[in-house]
Amino acid sequence: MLSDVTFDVREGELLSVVGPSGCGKTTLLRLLCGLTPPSDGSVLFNGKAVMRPPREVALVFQDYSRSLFPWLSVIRNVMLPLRRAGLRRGEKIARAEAVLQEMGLHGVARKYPWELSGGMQQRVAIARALVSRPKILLLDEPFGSVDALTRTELQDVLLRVHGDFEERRVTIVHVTHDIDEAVYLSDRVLVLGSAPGRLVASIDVELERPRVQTATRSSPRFLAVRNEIHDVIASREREAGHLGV
Amino acid sequence: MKQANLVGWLFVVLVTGLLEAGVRLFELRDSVPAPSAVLRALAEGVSSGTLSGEVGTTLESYAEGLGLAIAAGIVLGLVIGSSRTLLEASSIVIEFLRPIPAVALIPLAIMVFGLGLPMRRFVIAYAALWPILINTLYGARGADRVLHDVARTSGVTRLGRLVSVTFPAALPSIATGIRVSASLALLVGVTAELVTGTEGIGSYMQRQQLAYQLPELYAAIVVTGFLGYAINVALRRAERHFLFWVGEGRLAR
Repeated sequence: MLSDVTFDVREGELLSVVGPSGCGKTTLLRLLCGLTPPSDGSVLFNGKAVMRPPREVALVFQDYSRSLFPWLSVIRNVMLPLRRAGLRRGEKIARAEAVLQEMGLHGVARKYPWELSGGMQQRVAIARALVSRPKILLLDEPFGSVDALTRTELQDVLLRVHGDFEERRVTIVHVTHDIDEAVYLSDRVLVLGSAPGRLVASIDVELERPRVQTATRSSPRFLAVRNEIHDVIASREREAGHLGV
Repeated sequence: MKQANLVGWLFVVLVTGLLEAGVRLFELRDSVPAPSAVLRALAEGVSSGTLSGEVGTTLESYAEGLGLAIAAGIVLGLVIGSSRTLLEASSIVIEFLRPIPAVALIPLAIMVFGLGLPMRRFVIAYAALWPILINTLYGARGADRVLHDVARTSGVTRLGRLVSVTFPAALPSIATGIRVSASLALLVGVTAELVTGTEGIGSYMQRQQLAYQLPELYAAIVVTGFLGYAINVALRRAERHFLFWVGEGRLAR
């Protein structure tokens, strides 16, 4: 699936990975979080090889309707990663409730995921990923299955998650097929090419924070970066013999 | 069963009425008892305790046999279903043992366990095991991989995932297996009693047949049918209560 993909993720960075579908974006995330062992090469976290899911890494899956346990209430879904935290039950509940509040989810703790809207379900999934206070948050097309309005709302939720924890800043690796979203959110965008998936470009976004949907997206720098990424992808496709534009 | 099935019960009353009229009209009482006579025999059998005692005996071996099958079927199904190697290793044995009618094992079971309750328990458990085992197997294999991945990245161990992911995910199909087994177990249990003629509804039927007491024989048949019906209703209720999440969501986007 992937070959010759080498990159570093800096601490506290928000990194997006874009590329055509089938280029191995999801495989890359599964490698990063230790769900799939690499057939060749290695994934290092603070210099140590990742062989299985490390405690410090949390993953948010694309499809909330498949990643939340339908037989568990919202709070018990969120408490799942705390199993190995060695906390007392009361502390676990308190932590889960706190992270639900942070995600703007009020009064849903005892509900079941399927009683909530799609956007709220994905917030629950993000809350679950954050509850164990991971150093690295991985997201696999996290806003791919919600409507456009909810999507921009969740993008800003993610920015808040990234910015809120100044003292213990969370590092985020975010996979998407939406180039504008990647530019809007990230410090840096990696572009993958397909067949086999490999690293094509690494582009620094250099837009100032905090980012605002309207102002950021209409700034010249935003347009320049997104056009650069589009150009990179288009030229790769031409080289690969596809119909270029 | 949202509410009482009125039309269904009306139909029962209608058929019973037609039967009564037919038996009286055509003077068939020597070969077919009138429903009224059956009901009288039923009331007598229940009030005197002879029939209800036999029902108790039947239900005892039924519950024990089915309980064993449920426990064994779920544990085996989950373990085998979550390992490709075990599934391949056991598939031939399962497909060989499964089609053997439990009734055909009665002679063997009598030699090993004698004529009493242990024999019936074994035969019932054998018959009831397969639908539960097979359904659990498929349910376990069908569990969404994403849920397993979530559990793995959340640090849940392999055994923990078996209990908290595979088992609940397989529950809907386990419930189906139990419902199939529940009627099968009653069928096999009554048959085993009929063959050995020691105790239970089946042996009650056999005795009434030998004594040519048709209303009593039919009363026992009616009771068996009603047991099967009641068990099915109870299981459906339990399913709706415990599997509250099934069919919910997936639409709510």
